[in-house]
Amino acid sequence: MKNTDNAIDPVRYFGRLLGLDAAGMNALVTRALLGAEDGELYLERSESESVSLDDGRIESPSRSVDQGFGLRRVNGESVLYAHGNTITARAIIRAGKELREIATAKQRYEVREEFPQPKARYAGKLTSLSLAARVKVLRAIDRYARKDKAVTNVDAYFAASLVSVLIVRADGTIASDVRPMASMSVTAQCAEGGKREGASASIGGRYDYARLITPGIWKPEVDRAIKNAKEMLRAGPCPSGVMPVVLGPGWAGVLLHEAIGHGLEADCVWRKTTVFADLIGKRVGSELVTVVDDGTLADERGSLTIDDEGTPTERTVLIKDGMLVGFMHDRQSARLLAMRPTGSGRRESYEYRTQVRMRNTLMVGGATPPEDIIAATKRGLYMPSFGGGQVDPVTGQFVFSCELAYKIEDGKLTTPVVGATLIGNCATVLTHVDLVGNDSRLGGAGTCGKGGQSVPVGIGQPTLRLSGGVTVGGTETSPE
Amino acid sequence: MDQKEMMRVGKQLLRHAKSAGATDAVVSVDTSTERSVTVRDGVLDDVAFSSSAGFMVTAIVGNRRGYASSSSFENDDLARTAKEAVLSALQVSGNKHVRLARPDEWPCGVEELPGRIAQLDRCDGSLPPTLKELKMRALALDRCACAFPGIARSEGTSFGFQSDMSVQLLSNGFSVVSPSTQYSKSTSVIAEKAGEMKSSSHWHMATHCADLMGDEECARRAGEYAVKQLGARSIKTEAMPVLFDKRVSPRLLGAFFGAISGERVYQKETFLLDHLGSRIFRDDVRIIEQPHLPRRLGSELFDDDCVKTTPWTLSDQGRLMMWATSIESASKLGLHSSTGHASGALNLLLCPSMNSLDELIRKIDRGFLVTDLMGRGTNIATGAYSVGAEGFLIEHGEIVRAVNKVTIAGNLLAMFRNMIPADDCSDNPYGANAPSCLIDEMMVAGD
Repeated sequence: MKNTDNAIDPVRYFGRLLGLDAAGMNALVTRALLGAEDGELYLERSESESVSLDDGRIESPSRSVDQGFGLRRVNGESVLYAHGNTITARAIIRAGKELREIATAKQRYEVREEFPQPKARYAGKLTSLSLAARVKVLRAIDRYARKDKAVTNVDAYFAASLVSVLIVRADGTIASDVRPMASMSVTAQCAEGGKREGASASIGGRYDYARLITPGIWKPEVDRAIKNAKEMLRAGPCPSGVMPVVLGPGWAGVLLHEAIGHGLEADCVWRKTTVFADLIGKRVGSELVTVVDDGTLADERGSLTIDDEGTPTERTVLIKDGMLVGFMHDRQSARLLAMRPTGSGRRESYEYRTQVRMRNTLMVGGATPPEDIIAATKRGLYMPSFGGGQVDPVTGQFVFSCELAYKIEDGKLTTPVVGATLIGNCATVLTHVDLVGNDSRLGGAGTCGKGGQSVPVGIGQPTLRLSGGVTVGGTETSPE
Repeated sequence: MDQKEMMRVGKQLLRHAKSAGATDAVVSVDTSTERSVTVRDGVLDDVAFSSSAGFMVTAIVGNRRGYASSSSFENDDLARTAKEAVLSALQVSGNKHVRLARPDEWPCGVEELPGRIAQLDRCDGSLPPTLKELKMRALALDRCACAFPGIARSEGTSFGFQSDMSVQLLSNGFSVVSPSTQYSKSTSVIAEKAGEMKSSSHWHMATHCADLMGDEECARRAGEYAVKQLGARSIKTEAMPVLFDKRVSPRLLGAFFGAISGERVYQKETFLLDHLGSRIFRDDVRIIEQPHLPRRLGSELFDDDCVKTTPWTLSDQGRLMMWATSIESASKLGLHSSTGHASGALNLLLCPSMNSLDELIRKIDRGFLVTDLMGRGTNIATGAYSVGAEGFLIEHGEIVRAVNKVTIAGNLLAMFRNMIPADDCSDNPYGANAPSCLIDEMMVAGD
């Protein structure tokens, strides 16, 4: 990435590498995917750069360029995938031949979406900052954080990428997209009375560094990391057992993403590996719960103009007033379940086949001010955020770790506690939502993992209360 | 790209880095081909075929270091990437801990390296399997897995092959080519009874096809566990002894190794900070590393810094013997030399003890046998440990029923201090191995 507008035109760039025009690319894909039901040639060039600050020192500046192709052949339930770095017609034909050897010929899937040119959800370029300019901001972050005497160390980084993709489908559709991404993260280590704790905060989206380097943007993140680290220093042990739990707005929506969202990705529906497979039209949450997966939000991490199969993205309503109304689909799941693709076919890079994936998953806000939710809770736990979690899709059991939580006593937040773990069941957790705040928003800089692939996503929700159905795991026995 | 071509590209990158102003440089060039087939209930599910290549340049200018990488091998790309590494290096802070591995830190002289690499025997010389052959083998394992009593269906059974070639060059003369092969099989099954489902999987990997676990054994390990866990339910919240089955005890070793990392020690972000040389385990705990086991995945002659690896004893008679360092972290700690841990732990083993596992179980009046863990609730800085768990309830010395939906919590320092290793041992083909381990008391939270 240079200091200027660096966007490439994917059709021209890959056309030059292959020595083909659009018609030539179509002919190549027709040949490589002979007898396939569906599939595409996916071409990608990604440029990325990052630099970090660690203990006052600028470290690990890196820049990388990666490009390659992925050839996907879909027949019924099976996906045959070949990829490589050598973008030549010969390599693509060879990959096609390798796959054809174990594939059975099928009727071509001829459903083509009729859509106008999709509306761009972000600027298809990244005006990069010079490394020197990024280094300057990192140093400013370091100085700012260290004004707080409790801070013993600051880690921070900037990362950005620009990914240009060209999709040539077996049905003749050609689509392209240029996707920017920038993110910033800060970790503050604090010490007090021989104890040490660290906490992080991060932000990012499909935009320029310019947005992140404004002090008005990064200062609140640094403040939040320091505040959380200091709270952890004075935190006590976490109670354990069943109790009401209030989840904070924004990033705590990672529970919604993991426990509910993944089960609504339709590849698990036709594979019957989700507890939600047969629940369309049924109640899965209290009537306060409405959940959407939205790829159309401007500049968010999970926003996409088209997905990685070339389908334009959309706002998909998953749960409406507690009723399950829809799943997210790629072309394969849509075909197998006789539904419509929702623009949810995504992949980490050309090295991976597409999967049904979330984009920006959000619970829609309710009517209650967040402070009233705490005030209405006599005894329980407030979890403003989660560190990470895991879900067993077959049993529906989920586990989340919460680095910093607060006891709620008589309607007030009291002692901070560390080391809390929250477990519950996906199928029933939303039925326990009895209060939903009016403060819904996206938060953090999320990256979602599934089947070994990571993609950027948006995560969000309002403050909400689970009146039961979850168990808190800590080291302290709960007072009865 | 063959070995000779990779070496040629590597040397050219070193030259480009030097002429762009690098005082020293590190170059790696890697190629990989991979084939794998996944079937599900006898039907072809997923096929992958790939050939990839890439290179990375680390440029050192004085005591500054920068990186750049690319997967495009055009002549211009080589020069451009090397130059970018140098330009990034010029922007960073000087780091007095940056240096190349000295010849006395290499595993041996450059001319002896090919022979030593060959002794590790990480390459199966036979012809790479075709996709068709892989499909046959995956189908055979899938049939076997589905036939296990109590198993309703498979969720995916894979057979894969990968062949890697890696060239590493240092500008002070270190130069090595490391080829390796990897065969893998895995199966994931679902047990079903009265509408309740439980999934479980098992995988195995080996450098040589002949070393792969047999289909029956692989299918049995996946199936048996899923069936035994059916009917699991939670237990009442209380503190009790927790026995980590050998399925999960190696993860305690992972936490141990994380806590002795030189970088964490330097940052003072480990709960073992003040414990070097002192007793952190019972005296029957011995932890060793075996980096040179022939034919084993993860065996290495040298680490990412090109410093030789060593069969260290990390804990002897319960004492913490050393920190695990790289060139940089050793220098930061004021230590003379790296322990060769720039790439992490190599084949860690917590040695089985004389304590009979059956005897340990018999002595538990009420306790929890943990067989699977969920979540990432391990804080290496403080030792706080809280994770989701499933397993079995032990009452009056007997395993009585399956348990899930609980969390277990404690502090790693306290857990380590009283941990009793048993006389069995896990047999993971990759990474750490350990016997089952009994922790005298943890908080188990359930209903």
